[in-house]
Amino acid sequence: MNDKVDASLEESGFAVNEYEREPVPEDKTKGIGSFLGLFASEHVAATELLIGPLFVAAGVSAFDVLVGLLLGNLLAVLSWTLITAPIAVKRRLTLYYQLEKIGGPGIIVIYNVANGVLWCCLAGAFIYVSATALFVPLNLPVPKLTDWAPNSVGMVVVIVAMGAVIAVVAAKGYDAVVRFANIAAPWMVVMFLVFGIAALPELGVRSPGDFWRVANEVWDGKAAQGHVQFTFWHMVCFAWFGNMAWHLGMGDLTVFRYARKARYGLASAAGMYLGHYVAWITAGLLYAVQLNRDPTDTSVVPGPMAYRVAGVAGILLVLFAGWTTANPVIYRAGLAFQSVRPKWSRVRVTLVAGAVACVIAVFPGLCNRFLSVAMLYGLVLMPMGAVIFADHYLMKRLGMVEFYAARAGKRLHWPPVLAWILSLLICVGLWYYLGIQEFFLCLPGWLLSGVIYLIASKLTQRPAVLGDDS
Amino acid sequence: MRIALMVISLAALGMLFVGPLLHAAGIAPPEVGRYGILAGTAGWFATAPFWMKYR
Repeated sequence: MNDKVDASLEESGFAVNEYEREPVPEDKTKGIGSFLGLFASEHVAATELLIGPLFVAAGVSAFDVLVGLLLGNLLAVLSWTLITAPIAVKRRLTLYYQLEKIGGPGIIVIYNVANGVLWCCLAGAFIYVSATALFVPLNLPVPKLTDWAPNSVGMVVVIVAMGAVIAVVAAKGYDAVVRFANIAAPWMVVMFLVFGIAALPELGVRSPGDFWRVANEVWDGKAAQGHVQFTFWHMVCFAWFGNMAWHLGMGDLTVFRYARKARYGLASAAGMYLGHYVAWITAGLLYAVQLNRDPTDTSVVPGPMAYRVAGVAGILLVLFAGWTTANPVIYRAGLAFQSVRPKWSRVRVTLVAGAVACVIAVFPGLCNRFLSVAMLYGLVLMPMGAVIFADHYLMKRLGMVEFYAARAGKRLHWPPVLAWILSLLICVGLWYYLGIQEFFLCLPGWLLSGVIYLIASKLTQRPAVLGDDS
Repeated sequence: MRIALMVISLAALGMLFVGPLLHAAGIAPPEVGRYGILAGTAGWFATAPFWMKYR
């Protein structure tokens, strides 16, 4: 998953805190190499170790995984390239500043609170993954795939201790972790490839010809008890919308405003096909090795899985991958909450975000249902991407005014808020009453949000009273 | 010096593959694969911090 954070972006040369309220100058733009490196490292994260095994538990077939992910990731890359990057390059403004100009400063507060809460959930998953690295040396019992609550005091103690260390580091010694994460990133990418190579002989692959036979045994098309049966279209939609908050949700406007050309959106393929194709598949192979040794052990616990295949280095990967991704996410959650009340101490608010993430991490049910959690993250934030898209491409064509709140001097302009709330309510209704799964709600929700925004704008805009703001 | 360290780091990343590939080819037991991965990991973290740039 995508775990970007201001400081880590700055380490990579994408200064988030510069040009916050003005377009990035042409001479500060970057070549495609910077974007390839950024995407390759940002999308190989701790949660890949949960997602790959959960696909196996969801009963996908080998064809669904290998072809469905190929297609879904292609659609994600095209979303970045054809929708996000062109708007970013045209305006060269951050998501936050564009949203503020469209909906007023009030909408940024709402967006930050929603984002902060979701980041705490993600950080909880990262802390959990990282803590599972310690389950092996401490010989702790692992939670089952069906468990919602922790199964031992030792597990709670380890997760809380891990979360506390991560939260304190996020609050106090953040820069050191960002530097360490940058050093570890190439190693992590290679380690996921190594996992695959190391797992294949354990599964009985001795030649390339064995692969398809073994793949059909690994992804056998039978869902574990209590899990939704995944199909080809689940895989396509998950790969496409797993990072929806960043492409159709426009989170990566902040990154691509530095792109010289809109076609640099194609650089997202480095992250998608390394992180969301190779890493998901190899993580699934780790789980298959576990099932091969003990078919009754269906637990999805990354630490022991990685240890079985790669030994101590596998444990280190799980520890570092979880730690280096949890750290920036907690930091960012703290910043999001602090933006609501700037007088709050950043250290204190980061520690509070860390404490919330710790409480979430203690419950393995969140990670056992991580596929749904990832969809929820995109679903909650995507309406604002649709609003930015509609404002950029359609407002003028429909005889309305772009960036209305900025021009009308409004603190809170209601159409984007209405689009956000109504589109989410309709999605919840479709899920609850019609049983449409969350994996298939993202695209209709995004389209609905754009349409509602345009209709509400048509009803509320008063162009005659506007000043000039561009 | 920096280039020498960079070469060692890249060799360490390559080392990550050697043990698992020997095991996959049926030449070595799984332990060789695991020790190879550990050696490559140690090599990377021992050298990469000294040449990777912070922008």
